[in-house]
Amino acid sequence: MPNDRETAELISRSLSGMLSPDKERALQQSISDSRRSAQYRDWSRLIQDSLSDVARRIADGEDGLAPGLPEDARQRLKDSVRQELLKQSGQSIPDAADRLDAGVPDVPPPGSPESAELRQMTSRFSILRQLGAGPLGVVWLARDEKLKRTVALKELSSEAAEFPRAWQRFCREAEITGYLEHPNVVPLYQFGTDSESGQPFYAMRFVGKRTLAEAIQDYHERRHAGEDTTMDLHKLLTAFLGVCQAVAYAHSRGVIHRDLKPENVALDSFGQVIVLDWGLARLTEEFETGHLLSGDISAADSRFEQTIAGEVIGTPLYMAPEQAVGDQDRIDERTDVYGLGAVLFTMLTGQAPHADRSRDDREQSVSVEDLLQRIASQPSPDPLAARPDLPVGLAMICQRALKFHQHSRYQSAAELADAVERWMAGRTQRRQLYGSMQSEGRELRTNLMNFLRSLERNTRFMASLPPIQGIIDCLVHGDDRDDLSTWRSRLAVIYRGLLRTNTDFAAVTYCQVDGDQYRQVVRLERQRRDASSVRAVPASRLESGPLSSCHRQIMDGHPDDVLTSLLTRCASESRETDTGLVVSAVPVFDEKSEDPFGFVMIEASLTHVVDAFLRHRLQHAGQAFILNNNCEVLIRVGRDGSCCSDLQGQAMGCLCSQWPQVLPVLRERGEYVDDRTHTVYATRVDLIPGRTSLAIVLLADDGSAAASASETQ
Amino acid sequence: MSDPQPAPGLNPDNWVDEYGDYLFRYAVSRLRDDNAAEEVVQETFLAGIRFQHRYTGDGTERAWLLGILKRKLIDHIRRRARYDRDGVSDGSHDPSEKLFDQKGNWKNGAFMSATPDGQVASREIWEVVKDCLKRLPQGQADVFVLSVMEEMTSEEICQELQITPSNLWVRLHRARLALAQCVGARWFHDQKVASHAE
Repeated sequence: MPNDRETAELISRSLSGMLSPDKERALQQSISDSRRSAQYRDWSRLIQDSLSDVARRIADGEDGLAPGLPEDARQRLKDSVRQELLKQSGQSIPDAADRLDAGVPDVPPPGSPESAELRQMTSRFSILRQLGAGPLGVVWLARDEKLKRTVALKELSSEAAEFPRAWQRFCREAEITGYLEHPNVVPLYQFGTDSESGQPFYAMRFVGKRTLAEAIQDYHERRHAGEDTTMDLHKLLTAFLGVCQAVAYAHSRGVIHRDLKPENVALDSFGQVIVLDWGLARLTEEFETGHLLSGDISAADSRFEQTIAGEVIGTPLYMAPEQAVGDQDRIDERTDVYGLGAVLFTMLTGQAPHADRSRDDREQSVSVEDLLQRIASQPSPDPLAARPDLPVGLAMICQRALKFHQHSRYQSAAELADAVERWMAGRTQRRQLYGSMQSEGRELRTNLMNFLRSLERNTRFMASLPPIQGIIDCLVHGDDRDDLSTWRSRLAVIYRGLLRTNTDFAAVTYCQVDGDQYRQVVRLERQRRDASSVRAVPASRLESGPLSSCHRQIMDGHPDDVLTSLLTRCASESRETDTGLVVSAVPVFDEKSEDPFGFVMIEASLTHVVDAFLRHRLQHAGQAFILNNNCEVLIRVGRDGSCCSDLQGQAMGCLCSQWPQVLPVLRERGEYVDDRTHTVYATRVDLIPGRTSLAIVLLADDGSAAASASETQ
Repeated sequence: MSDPQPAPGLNPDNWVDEYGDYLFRYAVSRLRDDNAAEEVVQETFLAGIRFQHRYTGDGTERAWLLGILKRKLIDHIRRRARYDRDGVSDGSHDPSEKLFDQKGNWKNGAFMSATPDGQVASREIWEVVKDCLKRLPQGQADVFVLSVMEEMTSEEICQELQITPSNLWVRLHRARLALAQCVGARWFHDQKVASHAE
């Protein structure tokens, strides 16, 4: 008989099925003699049966027999799965890159030594501060301790990390960014996973925080304040060309961005343009079928899609119609052309192309669905409607890029860039010509001013000569009449010398004023038909007559007060005068009685001055005009050398269309610069500040109109 | 190049949510350790992702993952046994000394109670057995679980754990003895407490 220990062993063997039938029978006999052995057998059998039963139930999925996954463990497991999926995604890159001879960030296969090294890379970066955050990722400013440089580090946001598809999308973004090697695509330095969180990240060149959106906003704020310059738009357009080039390159690599907007373009401190955010990019069918990159970004997790929808609420404002209807099959390079057109629209107008559609009649925001419906059903936005003063050529380019139908748009980003570049080149040439024309106008103004100052100085001098008082003494104080003849002769000699020296001067006159009448005492004038001949007007031909308002104005002045005006204003009504003459006059006082006696007046030929200046210099302007206060053309000079001074009223029929814009600016600022069409330049010369002025107007060759006067009174 | 696309019928993104609890319950029932269970479930998922191309689609996704988990359980048990081999062979873990006198007869108080009368729910026994299994040396508990819960044959267990049949037999027998003693005593104690409470 076995003892209890041996019986227990047999029981154990029996329960394990390791006992022969004979021994089973012997065992039963032993157990019947031992209560404790029976208890052991019963408990062991019960335990075994229970465990087998529980094991089956658990295998069948019954959930009350063991605790479920603790929440923290669940999170860790999710992280592990994501990380593994990431590795699996990364594993395909080198092969694909090799096949297509593409530059792809060094993402080693999982398990390789490089992979282990990669995990340690996070210790290479020291986080400095957060630069920005979006639904997909958080961007940090970080320090690369290894290479001692500042980098931007983007990691998957914790919110997006909830969705495995977000991981794929994030990785896809890194892959595509790394795949695109172009000066206008941010260079990727490192792509890996954080050793602590297990979340993917990538390090890229830090390009600053300024985006094209901010630059556009700055430009339009300056524009509204009237502080913009032509260079501002030129800089923006140069940046736009950079965006076009990056997109054109991406297209050549089979990548369509699909989310082009000013916020996705960074501008670094040195004017470099960087296209960011390739997270929504997709491959064209040709490249997709080649399995260029891993994963599938089109089949997004539905929950994450909502997050994406939250992210791209602003994006519909730039969205092409085919995107708005969600027609993925129709999305191609021309969809990005539309996106580029949308960026250009924003540059030119200061608002997104669909901004107007995002509000209803009561200025309330419409839902995204309604906005998409409007984009898909309404004609394309018109930049000229948003900003009528836009250069028409540029507006047309923008309009074509935004055409509703894809076949009507530019067929590639390169074609669009080419159109903008051509417009800029033409504009640059025109701007250079205009700049020269501006210089000519300003130089002419300076010449006119100098001429007028010289005229005024000479007028004062001519009124201070001894014969002036000598003549007064004879006429007023009864000196010898013979002396009068002498004084007149002496004055005539001096005046003759003046006219011979100053060929622009047409005449110089010494007048006596008596009551309401004036009477010329001495007058020397240049002959009209022979400018080199100066003659003294004989006493019998000296004029007299009623005072004009101009004469009265002269006589109202104090000694040495010079009045400069147009001769038409100072001549007697009966006299036919040359419209191109300007006069400068100063009152003469009797030194003895200190009463006003008369005035000295010099008439000068503006035509002569203008002609002399412009005849050989009018290279860039097609025509030059000098206008008076009444919008009357006093002088017109053509490039052909023609110079007319008697066009009063004749040029008024070709008033330039810009004149309504020119006049107020000219009145207020004294100068009009045509930044938009580069057709008209105008500046003002004050004869009597606030009362009488001349306007110098230059028209470019293809200027469709003449100019008018500056009504500055 | 491995295929980055999920195999037909497999959706690794959802594995944790879909099968995390199931696999964890299965693993913790076999390993009696939450951390160890989490570890093998993790290994299961990772292996599933890496070798998803091997999924033929013949069985369910859960069954395929369970198959991987079973392998991972054995791997884990073997791994921890490697570090606990000394403990298994320690004579102090032999419950026989507590249960039998020198003549080989049951000591007084070897079993506190008889087995419950009539049908008793496996769940109730399981609750007690779980605790008692934790009191066993890992090497004994593991072979017992592999034998009873995983229904592995002696040959399979010996092969997987690289132990001899006699060693397996010793472990199993000691495990049965210890469990019977522990579960019997706990049951008696619990019944006593329950009757007092009433």
